[in-house]
Amino acid sequence: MNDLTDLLAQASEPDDRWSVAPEALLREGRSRVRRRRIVATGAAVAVALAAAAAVARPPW
Amino acid sequence: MVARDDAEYVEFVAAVQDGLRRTAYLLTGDWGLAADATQEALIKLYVAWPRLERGVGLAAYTRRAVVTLTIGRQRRQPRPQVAPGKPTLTVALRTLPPQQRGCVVLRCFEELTVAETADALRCTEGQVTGRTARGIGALRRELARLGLPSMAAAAMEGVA
Repeated sequence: MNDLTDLLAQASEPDDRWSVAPEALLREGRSRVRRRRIVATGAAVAVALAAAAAVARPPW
Repeated sequence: MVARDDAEYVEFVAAVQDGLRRTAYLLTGDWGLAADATQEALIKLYVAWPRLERGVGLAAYTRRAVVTLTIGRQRRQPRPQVAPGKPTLTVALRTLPPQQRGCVVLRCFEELTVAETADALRCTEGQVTGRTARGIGALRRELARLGLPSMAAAAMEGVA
């Protein structure tokens, strides 16, 4: 498949000098990790509160 | 992630981003979509970084993410209309069904093994073999139809 490999390599030769700063991805990645932690903590707190409310509820 | 991991991540991104974007371009036929898919895949990689094996695991995860963000989305949508214009290999590639295109690009451009391609596309090795052969055949016919016989002949070279 060498010829097709060469053709695909030529076809995907970029005509610009695009590159993304790894530091920008790092910042976005950190932000997503933080958001996930907040959501996970919020969900855990909600479950704990629901459990506490169920225990505290009078039986009638 | 600790600072040492951040430094490794930055180094990994700098090393792979160009190749990933080229693969994404062959899968989508659009440089803008390719850039978006590459960035998103690399951000997902950061989130998954602590649980991934260093080395092969990082590359495999990133490749799978790019494939999902390109081919995975196309699979759920009608096949895009190929805009009229100068006939090229990328125009011919876009006429292939997404899974066949994925097999041809990953096997012939990225030069992955059948097993690695199956992992990236989440299919069996038998499906990779069949789709690659059918994809190359369809690509050759499309190139001939577009009036690119030399490319069509080149696409057949080395195909068993």
